[in-house]
Amino acid sequence: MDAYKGGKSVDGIVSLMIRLGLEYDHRIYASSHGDYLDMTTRLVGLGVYSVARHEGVAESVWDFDSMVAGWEYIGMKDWYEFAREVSKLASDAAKAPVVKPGVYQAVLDNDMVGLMLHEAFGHATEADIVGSRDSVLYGRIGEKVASELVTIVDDGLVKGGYFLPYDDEGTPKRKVATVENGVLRSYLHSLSTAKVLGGEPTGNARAMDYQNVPLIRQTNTYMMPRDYSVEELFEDIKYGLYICGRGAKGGQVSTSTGTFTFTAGPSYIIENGEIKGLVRGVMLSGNILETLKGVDAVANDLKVRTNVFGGCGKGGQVVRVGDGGPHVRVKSITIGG
Amino acid sequence: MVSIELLSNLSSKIISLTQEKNVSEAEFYGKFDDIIQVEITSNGIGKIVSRSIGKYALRIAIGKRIGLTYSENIDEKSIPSIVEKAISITKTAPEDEKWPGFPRGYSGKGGLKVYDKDLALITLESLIEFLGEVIDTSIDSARKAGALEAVVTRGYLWIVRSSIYIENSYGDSISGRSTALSVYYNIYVRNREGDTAYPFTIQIRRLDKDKIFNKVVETAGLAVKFIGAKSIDSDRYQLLIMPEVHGELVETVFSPAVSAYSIQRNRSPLKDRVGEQIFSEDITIYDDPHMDYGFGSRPFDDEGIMTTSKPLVDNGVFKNIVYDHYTASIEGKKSTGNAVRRRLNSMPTPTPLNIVFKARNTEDLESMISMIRKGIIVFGVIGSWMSNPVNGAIQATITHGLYVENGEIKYPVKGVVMGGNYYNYLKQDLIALGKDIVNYSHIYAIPILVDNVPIAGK
Repeated sequence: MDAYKGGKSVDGIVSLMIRLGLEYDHRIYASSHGDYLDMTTRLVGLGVYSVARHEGVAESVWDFDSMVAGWEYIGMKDWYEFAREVSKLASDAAKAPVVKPGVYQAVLDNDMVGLMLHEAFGHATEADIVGSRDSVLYGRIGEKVASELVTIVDDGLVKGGYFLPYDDEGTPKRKVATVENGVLRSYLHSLSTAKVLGGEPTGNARAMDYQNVPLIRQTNTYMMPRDYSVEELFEDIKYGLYICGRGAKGGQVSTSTGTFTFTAGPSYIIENGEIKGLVRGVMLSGNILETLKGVDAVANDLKVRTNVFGGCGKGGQVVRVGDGGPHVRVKSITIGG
Repeated sequence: MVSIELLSNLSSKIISLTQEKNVSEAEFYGKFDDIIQVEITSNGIGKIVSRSIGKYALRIAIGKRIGLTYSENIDEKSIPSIVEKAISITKTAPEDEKWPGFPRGYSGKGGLKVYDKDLALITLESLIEFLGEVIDTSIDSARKAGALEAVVTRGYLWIVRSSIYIENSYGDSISGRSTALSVYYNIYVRNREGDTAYPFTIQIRRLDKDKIFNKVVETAGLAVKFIGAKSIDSDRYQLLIMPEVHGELVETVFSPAVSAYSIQRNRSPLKDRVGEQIFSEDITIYDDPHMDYGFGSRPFDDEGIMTTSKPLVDNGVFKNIVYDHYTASIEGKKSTGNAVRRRLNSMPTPTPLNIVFKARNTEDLESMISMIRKGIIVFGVIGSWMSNPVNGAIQATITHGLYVENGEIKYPVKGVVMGGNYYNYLKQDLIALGKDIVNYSHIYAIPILVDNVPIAGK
């Protein structure tokens, strides 16, 4: 009710939905190899969907806050303020102009970096996709696929992310650097793909439930931080875009070609190093390898988050994941609006 | 039919127990799915999974308080705990003053064909043989179209045989069964100019091999045309949007907009616009769940109410909103039979079942291409689901397109973002409507030629 009141406290809100999510996931794994695992994960969170209308223009923003935690997490946060901020963003976005299509220098915030890495890069590292020659990363281990500032990891145990100490074949989930300083180092493996493609099992075989077979899935995908402050990323930009993940609808990628597309949340124009006016309708598009090669600054503010209301879909199965990273600057990115 | 008997027995016991517990009303919705899933890999057939899943949802009302529980445990021993859980949830729910009670008077459209015996009874051996033919045909067709190398890289085939049983505490019950076949895979092709991949996808209710193989050949032939695709300059272009892509846009932008759920919650640009001209007068769109073997066809909805065929748009005029029992009662109307449960653990919401375009003054494809001065034929997009149903704004990245100048196809295009608004596409920016209807899931759409679409490219 606090969240509902907060969401309603903003002028121009014509529709508001609050969702509360509580998940209890209990898995027991036993195999003829003598493995036995008993794992329980609790995930909680609250989501706000707010629709604002201004002079005939409607805009919606969905955002959530989730944590691997118990009920106490719900009591720890000011949900009135959280929902008010979501509604305020929807209201401001309804008054904002649509972004002008074109090619921009851009700073991506933590949520946007996470979303892009999971969708546009992470899926292409999944060894079943690689083995089927459906990945732009097929046969490229040891090759430079990103700027040397880029290190990407898949990690089952990271603050803010989903908790996954073992996969659903009983393999300990290792922290794996798929890209290290710009060089492709590893794919994500199950026991069988590690054997077929050559590599170590990485603990990425996951099943939605006991009725489904394990597939290669990501856990928490994020970029490692570097030493820039967030402010420094903006300083040299004469005209660009600060692309924000709050209110982003998600993304999609063609793993075979690396073409990706994402809808960001309401974002900001950057002028002479300063964050200026809000714009709406920001859709990014590009090729993931070209975009990662264009990363020219990585900040020090790592943030990872997970989501009790959604997950990653593949082969008809949905599993919980997490993603994130620091703020990142890219030389150019195509924006539609 | 065993599965329906099983669900019926379970339902009777559950409904009886809710009445013993003085629950005001109860509704059982049970589903039994027999699923075969076959993985397609670059080496041919991959993992095969066969599973049978029984599951049900129990909705109960205690006065004006409503609760829902869901279970995959069809063991009768679990009934007392499921009913207790439903009662516990319902007692804590806030009262809903608008609650009209569960719908009564279950019935279904007689004679509607949604169950294909050939598909339901296909043996695993025949299925694998059929899928092998699909893969071989795809590769052969791509080679004939000029590919030096062609590989079916990754995908799945699903066959789902479903049985549904619905019963309420007023003595109504109804049951039905259906079949569905879905296939998708990517075909990778390479020639001297480069390489690319193009997706094949089909969703149908019966094993219509002619339809499947025609599409396999067409897809493989098209794939080769997209080799060497490049970006184009940002500008405004004419777009010839092919039926499947058009179907994706309809699914994301138009389908939710005609739902009473969105309209009553101020999430639709069509609120208060029944009777208004929203599209070109050449456009009529039906919600027609009574097409035999239509992918969204069904004799009754997920509340047991008979489905209805009705125009959503008639000669461009917005005619009908789709309702379930709850949203209809708010407006003092009857349900249109459009209650759909996206998952068993979610409440029904009103949703169009088969959206079917019935346009007039249509053109064939060649004629539409000849009308293009500077534009793109759009065969494939990603991210169309990120378009905005609240205001009709379109956003999608074109992955497979052909650039056209003065009626002549010049070269393939990829990686450009299309924008604009769907309601403008079908009204002031509409140039021509195509003849050929192709289904994308439960959307039966036609090609549309649209002017003045903003494209973000180089």
